[in-house]
Amino acid sequence: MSLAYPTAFRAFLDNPAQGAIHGKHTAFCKGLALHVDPDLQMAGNWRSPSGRLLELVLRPAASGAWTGLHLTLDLPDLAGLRFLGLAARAVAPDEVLIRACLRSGLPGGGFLDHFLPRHWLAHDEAATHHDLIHLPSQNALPVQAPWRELVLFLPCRAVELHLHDLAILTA
Amino acid sequence: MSAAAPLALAAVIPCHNDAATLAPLLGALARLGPVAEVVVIDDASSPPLCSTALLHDAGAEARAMPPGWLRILRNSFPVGAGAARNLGLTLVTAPHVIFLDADDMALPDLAHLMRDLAHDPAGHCADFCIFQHHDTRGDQERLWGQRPFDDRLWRQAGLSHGALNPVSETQAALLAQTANYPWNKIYRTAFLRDKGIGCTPLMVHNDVELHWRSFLLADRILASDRIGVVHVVRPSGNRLTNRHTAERLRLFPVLDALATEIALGARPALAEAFNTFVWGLADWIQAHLPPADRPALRACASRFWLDHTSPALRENLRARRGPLLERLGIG
Repeated sequence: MSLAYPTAFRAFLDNPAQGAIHGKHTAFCKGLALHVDPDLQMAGNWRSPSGRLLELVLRPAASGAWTGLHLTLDLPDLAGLRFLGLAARAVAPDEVLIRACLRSGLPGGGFLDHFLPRHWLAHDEAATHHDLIHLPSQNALPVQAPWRELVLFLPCRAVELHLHDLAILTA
Repeated sequence: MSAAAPLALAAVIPCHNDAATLAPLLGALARLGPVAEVVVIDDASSPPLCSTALLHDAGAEARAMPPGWLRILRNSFPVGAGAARNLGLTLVTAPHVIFLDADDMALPDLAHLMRDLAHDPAGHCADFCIFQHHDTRGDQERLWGQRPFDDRLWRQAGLSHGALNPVSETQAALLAQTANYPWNKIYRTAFLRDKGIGCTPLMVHNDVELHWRSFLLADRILASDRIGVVHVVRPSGNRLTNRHTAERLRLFPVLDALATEIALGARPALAEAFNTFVWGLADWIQAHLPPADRPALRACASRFWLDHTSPALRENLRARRGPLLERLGIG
């Protein structure tokens, strides 16, 4: 097993930071950002406490189609890998259903999403979640891709999510 | 992202014949980073505490701390943890202080909390930050964290999640009813000194005054869901916690004074919270007292009821805590 996220991400874990959620794109650090449907008119705030990844408070003013936490992965080449997944620890005062997917960029533009199989329910007790996809059995998963991300899709409603830790696992 | 300078923390630790547990605590504090000084009050241990031996047993990190990092003062006869903590506080030079027991264990989240406080503008000026802890009574049930009673109050206050949250007056009235421990708070040293807040120099229940006067007099309180300390509870043995004698009745004059001060204070929500707390505490004391001492406890409780419990609160308590009041002989 090895980790596959950027060095900047580790620094983000170690140093407290905070800010506001605004517009369609909020970058927390290099390689970690929130992308939201502009129709949501998203507001809110975020904090990265020392040793924890992210506390997110999202308050959309309208309806919309997507809210996703995007983590850049340094995994252009999946050759030789059999599993890819995540291990995470999260808590949410009100239940938050999260779907994780591996997003692979395509050379001509666009992308393909491959969802990890398990639904992830963050709830009122801090809990560990883990999930893996078996890469050789994924239809149409490009082994080579110009870029890749892990996307955590969040509900398009008011959300408070405390993501204490997140690791990307490969084998 | 900015890396704020860490806040310096002092640890004040009373110790009576606890060298074996104090040494690993010192090692843990040395590894944490933000602990700039440790003041140990040797409350007449036999044999006396020896800093060289303690640092040797505490490990390489503690031995590598600068000279003066560990200071030990010795009482020639035991005065209890409250008086020892007060003495220790007079010696602290760091801007923040935590009171630990010699058999507590400091966890890495305590250092993370200090970093959060350093980074957050509110963290510098908060009078104290209360954080969560693990109580070893949960070990048998494989439960990590606080006892259910405290956990319920944190949840009720809406503060059970979040690395650093401001505490409103309503929330403070709930958190104040948690167990009156001294070691689950990081205090601003000047707050305690300026307001004249300390422990009661009693052998038992010394921390009630520190806890409630802190909640009463603080302008800014923060709360963290981080579990910063393991509190070891040994249900038997000769520790002060297990001393169940009429000595505990000496707490009532302290409760009287606190009730009066809180009633006159600026936080009305705290008055009812304190009164409710007193009945739970009196019931707990009675349950552990020898039968011969219970009438005296009931007399103290009756006086407190007459002097400090408003008619409205009496009705409320009768409705909510009737059996408890009956056990205390209050109709």
